[in-house]
Amino acid sequence: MEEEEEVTLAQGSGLTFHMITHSDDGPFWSVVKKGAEAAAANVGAELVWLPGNNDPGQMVVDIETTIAEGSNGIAASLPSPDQLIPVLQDAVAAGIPVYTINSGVNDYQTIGATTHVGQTEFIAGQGAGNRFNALGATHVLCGRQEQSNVGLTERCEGLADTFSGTVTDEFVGLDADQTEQINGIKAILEADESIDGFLGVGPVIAVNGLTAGQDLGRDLIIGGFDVTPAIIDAIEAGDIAFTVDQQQYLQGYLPVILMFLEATNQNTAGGGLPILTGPGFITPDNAAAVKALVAEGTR
Amino acid sequence: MGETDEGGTAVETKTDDGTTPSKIDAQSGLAPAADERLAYRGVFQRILTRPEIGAALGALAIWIFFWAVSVPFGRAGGASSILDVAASPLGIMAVAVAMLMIGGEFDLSSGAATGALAIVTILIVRDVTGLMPGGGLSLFVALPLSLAVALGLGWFNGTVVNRTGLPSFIVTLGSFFVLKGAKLGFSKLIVGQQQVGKLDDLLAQAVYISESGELVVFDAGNTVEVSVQGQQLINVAPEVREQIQFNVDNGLDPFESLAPQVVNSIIRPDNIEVFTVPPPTVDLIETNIADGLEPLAGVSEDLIGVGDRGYSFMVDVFAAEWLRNEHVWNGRDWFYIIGVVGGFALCALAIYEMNFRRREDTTSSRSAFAVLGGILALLLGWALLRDVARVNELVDLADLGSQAGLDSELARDVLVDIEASQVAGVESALASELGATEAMASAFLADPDPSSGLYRAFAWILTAVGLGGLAAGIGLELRSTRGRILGLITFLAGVAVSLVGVWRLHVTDSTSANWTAAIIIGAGMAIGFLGWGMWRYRGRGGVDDAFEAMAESAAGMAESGLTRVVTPLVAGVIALALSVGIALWLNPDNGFDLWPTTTEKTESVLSAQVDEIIAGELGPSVESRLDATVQAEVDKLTNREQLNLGERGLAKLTDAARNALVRAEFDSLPAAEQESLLLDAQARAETENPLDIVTVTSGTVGLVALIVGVAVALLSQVLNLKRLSFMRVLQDHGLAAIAAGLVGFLATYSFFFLATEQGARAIGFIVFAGAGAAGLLSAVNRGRKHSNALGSALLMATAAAVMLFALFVRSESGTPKFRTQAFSFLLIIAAVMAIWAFATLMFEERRSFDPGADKMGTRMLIAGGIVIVLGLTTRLMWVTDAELVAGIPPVKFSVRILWFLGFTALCSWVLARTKFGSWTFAVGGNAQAARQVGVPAARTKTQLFMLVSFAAWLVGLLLAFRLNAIQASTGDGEEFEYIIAAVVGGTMLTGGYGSTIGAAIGAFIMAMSVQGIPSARWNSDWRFVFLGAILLTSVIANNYIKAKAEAAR
Repeated sequence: MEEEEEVTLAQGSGLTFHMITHSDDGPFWSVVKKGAEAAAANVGAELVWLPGNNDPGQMVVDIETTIAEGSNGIAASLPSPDQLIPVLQDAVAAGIPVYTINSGVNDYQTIGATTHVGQTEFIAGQGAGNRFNALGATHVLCGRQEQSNVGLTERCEGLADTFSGTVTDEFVGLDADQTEQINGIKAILEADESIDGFLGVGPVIAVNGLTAGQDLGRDLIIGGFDVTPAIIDAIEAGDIAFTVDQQQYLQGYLPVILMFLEATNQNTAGGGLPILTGPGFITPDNAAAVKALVAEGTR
Repeated sequence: MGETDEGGTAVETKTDDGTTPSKIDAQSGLAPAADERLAYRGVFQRILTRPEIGAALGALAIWIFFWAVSVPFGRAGGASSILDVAASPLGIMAVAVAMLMIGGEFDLSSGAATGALAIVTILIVRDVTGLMPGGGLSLFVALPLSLAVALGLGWFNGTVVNRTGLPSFIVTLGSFFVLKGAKLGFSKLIVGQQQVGKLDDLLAQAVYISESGELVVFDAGNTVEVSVQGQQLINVAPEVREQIQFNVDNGLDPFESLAPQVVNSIIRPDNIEVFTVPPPTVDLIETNIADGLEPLAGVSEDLIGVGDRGYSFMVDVFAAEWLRNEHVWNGRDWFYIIGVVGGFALCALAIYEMNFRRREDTTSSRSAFAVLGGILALLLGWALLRDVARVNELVDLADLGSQAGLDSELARDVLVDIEASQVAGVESALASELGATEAMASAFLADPDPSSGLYRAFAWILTAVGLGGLAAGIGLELRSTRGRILGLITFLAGVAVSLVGVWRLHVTDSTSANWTAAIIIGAGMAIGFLGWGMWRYRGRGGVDDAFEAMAESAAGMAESGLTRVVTPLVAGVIALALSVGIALWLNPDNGFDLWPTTTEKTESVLSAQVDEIIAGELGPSVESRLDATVQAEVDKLTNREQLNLGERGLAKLTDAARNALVRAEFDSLPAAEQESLLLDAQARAETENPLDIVTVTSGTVGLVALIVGVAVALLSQVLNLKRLSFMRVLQDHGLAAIAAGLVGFLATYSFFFLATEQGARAIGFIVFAGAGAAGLLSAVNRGRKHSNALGSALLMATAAAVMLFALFVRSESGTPKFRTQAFSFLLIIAAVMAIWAFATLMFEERRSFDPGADKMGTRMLIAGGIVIVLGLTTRLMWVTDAELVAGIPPVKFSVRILWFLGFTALCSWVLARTKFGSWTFAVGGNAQAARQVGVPAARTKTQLFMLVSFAAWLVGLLLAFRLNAIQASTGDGEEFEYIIAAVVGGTMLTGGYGSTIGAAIGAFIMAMSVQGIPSARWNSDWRFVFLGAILLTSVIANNYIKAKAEAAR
């Protein structure tokens, strides 16, 4: 962005946006926050970052306070829709533009939010399926590290939707006991020799799938979800083919820009449909570049 | 413990009107002993009252179960996975937690502590803070520091529990949350991530900067130095060295089959300095060179040549691995067979020793040990010597081959053929074809190397020890009475006959010859056991008396009805019949169609079939090019890889090549032709090859079975069929067991969607066969109470049933493992039963204490157990060339297993033999009472908490060196698994009772369950249902067995 433009925008704004999420300020959300701050600085608006720390009650209070104080736009995540939908509907009724981010793709229309910015797990899984098709896998094991997490199950269902070969979807052991996880994957690989691909729906399980495959001398095509240094190293080394990246920086950056445009120019993006920030893929081609960006905290 | 028991006994005896128990017994045979703790208990009863025995039996049952339903589970790979999961973290922690639970306390922070202590260790050692230039501390300093932290944690838990008097449940729950939070908090605070690592960044990598300014990095880690053709090569991975050696020995270019980058990185010009740096610094130097900066810009002086700060050493200690496929020992199987069979024989003799009454003139146990040890050592020595002889022969062959100068791989194949067909004296005939070099021979003889002096020395020493032992045993006995020496000679003759049988089995191949051999083995066993008995036990007065007694008791049986015996007998027979019925019903060869099936195909099946049809259409046109393509692929591999490829690898390669060719062929067709081919294939896939997919309708069958079972049970109640004794029998035991088995079996098959019909067949078969065996044995046990002879007769009948069963398994089974392994095993069990039945008729059983015999029996049991484990270990650790040629998947074993075994052994010793162990039981049973007799209760408990945190530290290190990076969530919530493993192993939640060996077995049960379910390809959604059922069953069975054994008299 050019220097002059930024200055004019900053002078003309004086707007205040609120971002109210279930953030725990962990590695994931700190990237969202960075994105939002960068966007706010670019448009010269003030950003109020209210992390709910996985407590929807806290989020309700924060949203009510924000409505009372007034705001030029609220971007909220929807970890538990039932509690948050009524209060966000109040915000819409009070004339505040509302955007949902990260979670809430099924409810943003009920709320009357302009659009949703995030990734849907199913579409991310579909993206992984297309990758496996391109890489020539015929039978992929979709390994889950939790037994009844809807998000993880949706990733596997998305994979099964687009992948042209067979998908075996199994829970293989918790991240808390990686010994069990590695051996669980090994047991399935040994029992079914036709498996030639592995999708770990988390970063730890993906690396463990690599270990299991190496232990058995099986050359698997491996995909993962999310970003950790270990998985990026493995991608750089060519042992893991790709990992699905939500690009959560966009989930912070885009809503601020969208709220700014709605406030200043009455633009509403998305046309009633959600705006997807993923799936982005980290592959051996861009792993080195992404590694540097992870160190900077924007990926 | 012993002291309290005696005290209690004294009190009890006094209240008993001063009469001694033996007098009461003498006065009326029916009256129970005055104090049942003083009553003599039979050998099985004594064994069954051990806390861990239920778990051990359960573990065996679960292993057999999964072995039957899943192929990979029973292989070396499955064993390695089970051992891995059982060892660490689960096993080590379960053992420590069991000690603490015996001491009456819990530690809910133990799971979180494993991860926390690993994180502490990594944080100390890593230069993550930037506060310690030149890297963190050496591991040699860091480990003691983190151990201090660990012990501090245990001390804190213990002290708070003691000082406040709060339940340890609450206190350690607090520590759990603190640890869980601290792990996450500190990880993020210090490294900004939810995981801390990587430990292998400590590795010192050897690098140099070449003349052209490039950075050259050597293979890190496990490397060896070599020099070839005057050039010095350093730090080459062992497999690279092997390849070079192979090339040189075969007169090839030294770097044949090595990738160019490997060749470049292993030749170091002499004038360039090599130094070591950690991997992150390697990256930094690389970036510097890429950016055109000075290579060492920004690299701290302290990091150059710093070494690995103990990393390589610690990796060996905590994470060393044994790659099975790299260790060949062709003599393995004899060692294994002798170990397992000899071990079981020792155990069986130990049971005899503990059960029968010794002859008055029996000498000390020394001669028995000398004889038994002698036989075992002699056999093992013979196996090794046989190996040496075979190797000598092969070396001779290889020499001949090298003279002939033929291709080495051909020679290798020929050698393998020779080994397989046992052809002797073919040197001259083959000499012209052989071309093995000496190097080839030495590769062939890798690992336990029978050509080495040590191996030969060991073989001869074992043989000599064996002969010496035998001679000493016989010598000791020669000085004794004639009857005894006759027994010993009979025993040795029996062993010899058995060996002849085994030898016949080995050298012959036809079915009838195998049967002859089996009969010889059986006869040898019978003679051997008879001799052993004549040598050591008091007789009952001959076979005639025994048969008279049997006839008498049969008459008695007719009079008294004996429903208690008939009940389990009938139930057992019905269950056996059902198992046979299920096997026949589900036999795919019989074309059963009772099972509802569907022909509806899923998308993925359809598309796979379309591919198959297209491949079939285009296949013939590509077949001509296939061989050349495969050959091209094979040529790309290194020599060693080619050797390891095997038939299976080759088949895979061929399939891949065919697919690629077909795809290319398909793509090259014109679009219209492609489409018509595709449409045609789709149409054919829809109609051809209907599938046999079992639908949920079979669930209905399960439901109907359940309803019928309940209805029959209710009806029989309502109609009061109890008056009919046969119905009563069925109703009380058999019917309930059969209904439960049927429902369980059908439910498992239909609701849990077992992958294969074969699996269902195996489950049904095993469930009912097991129930049948239990019924029959129960009948034997009850019959024995009525009269010894009746028990023997029933046992004989049971043995006959088992033998018939073995024949059935052999003829009907669909898998080789059932046909051969299960068959042989069942035959052996039948033989052991029959011999036992015979022995109980011949020899007098013990009815009083004999500490000497018990001590000897215990020692024989332990020795037998060790020998069995050694045999199994041998089989797990080495491969044979035949296996490699067949292309087996690689298997790894890690040093973690040794840590687990060592820790369990240590804790068991402490618990059983030391003062601290007694204190542990005392404070767990009643802390107040313990304190009053002078046990330092508070100190003992604190030390137990420290033991748990020590275990957590150890597990943390094992994890850290395995995974390199530790997640903040590591171990959270796992503490309940440790507690469950301890409870499954017989440790009581209330404290004061339990066993560390039991906890270790409990860990095995859990590991087998979590491995077996995916191995059998059961739906993982039901995983915890299975896990729960297995755990509940084993705990209930454990309690039931113990209660029964305690109550029995």
